Amino acid sequence: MQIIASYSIKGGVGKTAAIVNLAHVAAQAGARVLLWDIDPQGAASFYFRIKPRVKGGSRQLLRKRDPDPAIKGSDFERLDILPADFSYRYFDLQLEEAGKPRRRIGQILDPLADQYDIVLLDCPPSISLLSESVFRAADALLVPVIPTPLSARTLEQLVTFSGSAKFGKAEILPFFSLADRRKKLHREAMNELPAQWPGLFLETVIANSSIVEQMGIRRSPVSAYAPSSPPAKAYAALLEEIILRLAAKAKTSD
Amino acid sequence: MIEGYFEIQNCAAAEIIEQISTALSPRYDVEPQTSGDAVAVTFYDSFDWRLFRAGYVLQKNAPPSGTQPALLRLTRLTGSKASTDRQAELPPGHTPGFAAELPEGPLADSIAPLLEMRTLLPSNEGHGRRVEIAIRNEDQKIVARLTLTQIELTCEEGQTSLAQLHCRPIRGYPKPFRMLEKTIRRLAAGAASDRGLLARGLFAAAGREIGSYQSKLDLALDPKMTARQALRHILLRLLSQMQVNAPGTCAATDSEFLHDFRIAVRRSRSAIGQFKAIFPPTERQHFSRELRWLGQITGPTRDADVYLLAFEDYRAMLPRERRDDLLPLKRFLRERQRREQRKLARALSSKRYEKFVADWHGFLTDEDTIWQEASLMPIRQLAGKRIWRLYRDILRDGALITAASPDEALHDIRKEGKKLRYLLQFFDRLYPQSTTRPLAKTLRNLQNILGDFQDYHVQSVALRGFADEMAEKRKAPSETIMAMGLLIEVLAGLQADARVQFDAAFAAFSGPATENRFRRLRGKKKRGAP
Ligand SMILES: Nc1ncnc2c1ncn2[C@@H]1O[C@H](COP(=O)(O)OP(=O)(O)OP(=O)(O)O)[C@@H](O)[C@H]1O
Ligand SMILES: [Mg+2]
Repeated sequence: MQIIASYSIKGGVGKTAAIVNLAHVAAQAGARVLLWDIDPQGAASFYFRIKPRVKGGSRQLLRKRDPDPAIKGSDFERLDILPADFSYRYFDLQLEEAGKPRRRIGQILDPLADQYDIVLLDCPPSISLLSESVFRAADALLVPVIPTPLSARTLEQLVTFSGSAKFGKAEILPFFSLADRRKKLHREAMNELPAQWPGLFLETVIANSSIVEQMGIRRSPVSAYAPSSPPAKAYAALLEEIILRLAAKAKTSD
Repeated sequence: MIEGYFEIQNCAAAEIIEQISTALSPRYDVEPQTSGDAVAVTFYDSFDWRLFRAGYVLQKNAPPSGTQPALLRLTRLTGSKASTDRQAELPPGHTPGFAAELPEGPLADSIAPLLEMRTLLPSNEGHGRRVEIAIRNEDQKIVARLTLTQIELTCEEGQTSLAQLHCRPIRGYPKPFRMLEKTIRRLAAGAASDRGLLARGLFAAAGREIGSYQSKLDLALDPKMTARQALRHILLRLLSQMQVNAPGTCAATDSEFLHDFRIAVRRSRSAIGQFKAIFPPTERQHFSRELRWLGQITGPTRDADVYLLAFEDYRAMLPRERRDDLLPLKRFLRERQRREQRKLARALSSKRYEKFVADWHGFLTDEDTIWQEASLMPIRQLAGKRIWRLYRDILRDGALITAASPDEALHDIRKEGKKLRYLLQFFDRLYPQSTTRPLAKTLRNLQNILGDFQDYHVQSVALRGFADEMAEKRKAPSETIMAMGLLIEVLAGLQADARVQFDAAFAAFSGPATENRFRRLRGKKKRGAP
């Protein structure tokens, strides 16, 4: 079971759009996928028309470590959702209470190892105990980067933090999101940032597209309503790259 | 929460959907997602209904194009819960046949042990429409699914329509599924409903009544019958078994047609031999000769079949690295099987066979031919005598067996045992099951050991013959001949093992419990009869 989390300190960069579409693309490709909408705003749950409600909330998840009863089937084969819940706002507090907070997210997911090939986590934009616990559990952190100079700073912070002992084993996988090649600023950033971190950036670019924007009205992944559109293809390519990078990493760590 | 599976007769698809929609509203919307795709439905089972007897039907749903995979579904006939149902995709252009050719997975795993060496045969094709239906909640989220397949069928009673409903829950949404299932259950209870309706209809359309053939005899004999009446009944049934299996034997559809054909021949010969005293002698001699002829012309093909069926076992008897050395033997056996099969098919299409069937049937149904006096005796009495006699013969011969006895002595006991077994099978219904069941069991134990003993012997002799022939005709490299030599050694070892087990099996057979039961069969008074 591979755990992949979308993560960015910044809000509104395309985390949820990426994780929702990757989930659908992966399930269509035959993987058994669970998407955990760990963001109390519940945007990912909304896209799948699932009520952001988990009986007993985050407290119960932490205590029982049995997410099974809360899981809902999506409208798509092989794709299940562990929905968001309002109580996730207090995740940090509860992690603190539970003790050993950095291990907890991994422990909640452990019992699902036989059921799913891929678990995708949609994180809220913050630096917190919760995100640290996600870092520890994840095999990869998928980081959407809007191609602006400002983004370089936030990515820098994350890369620096990933060097610390607390971080865990997650691979950092930044990619350009909401990119607009008509903007000079974007074009420059897309040249400069990968040069600054050679080999780090995924090559697939998710361009700014009205088709992706429609997700909010359609309440459905792009590849379900526009399967052959450029963004649907881009998300499929993104998934392929992620899997290749994880496979390469597994090889070198052998 | 488990999938549900239902069949409803004579209710239009639109009406079913309407009814479900009414029952689920206003909480849930019932939304057909397609306007109805054409689908061709075929059922499959072996000639002797092995799936049906085990409580299953195997259905193939094929899209009309033929370029897309078909869906295979193995459904339990009893109960509406589909927890044990299995599905698999069948690639375009493939037809279900032998178990080994089915797509690997749980469906093939369930079918293989039931089907064994038999092949699947199709029913007629039913044509219909399949609609995928989504049940949605107020967020337009799908909370349950339903597939409705509607098939029009012409049967004896005229045109009928059959709907198959297959409802599936979505994880985390138990309530709407329960509502859906309850509604369908109510609809199904109103209309005529049974999970095997469609299968029955399509098999009947192909001229096959479900469950109509089995190799087991299960003869409905009456103790009041005379010997003549009983023997005619038995032999006519056996003749019909030959006739029913002849086309599949000629076409080599699978190896069991020939096997069942030969058993019917052997049982017929045995029946005539055991009741010599009742038949008119001239006719008896003639038909015995013809039956012997049928045994002879079918023997070589059956032998080749047996070795081919055992081939994987043979391979497994060798050390791993020698197993592939045996492959030329398989080719050799295949060639031989094909050659013999052609001869056999010719013989069964001959005038002689045709005449035998007509004459034998004529003789058995003819009221005017005079049979010998003994044919008027009650069958119960005569059968009891014959059974007792064979039992005593086996006891006598078995008691003489020592470690020094020649193999032939054991083979002879096996032959007698086989005759006894046939008698017990023929006359099963004349006696209480509490007596015949345990007898059949101890006899079967003894026969299995004797059968192994002889089969291993016959097989080693045959393999030695094959090896000589292959070497002579340069059909195999020396590694193959050597592997066959190894195999013969293994078989000799197994034969010796079987011999060791004989004493215990014979002791059980010759014990007082068995004797008492045989005495009861011979007894003139029927226990518990008025
Ligand atoms: N490639 C794209 N093209 C156009 N619009 C996009 C694209 N990706 C995301 N959006 C839109 O941008 C907004 C933010 O996207 P999204 O919710 O995926 O970001 P996020 O990082 O998850 O935000 P938050 O931090 O609030 O969770 C949404 O309205 C979404 O529809
Ligand atoms: Mg988000």
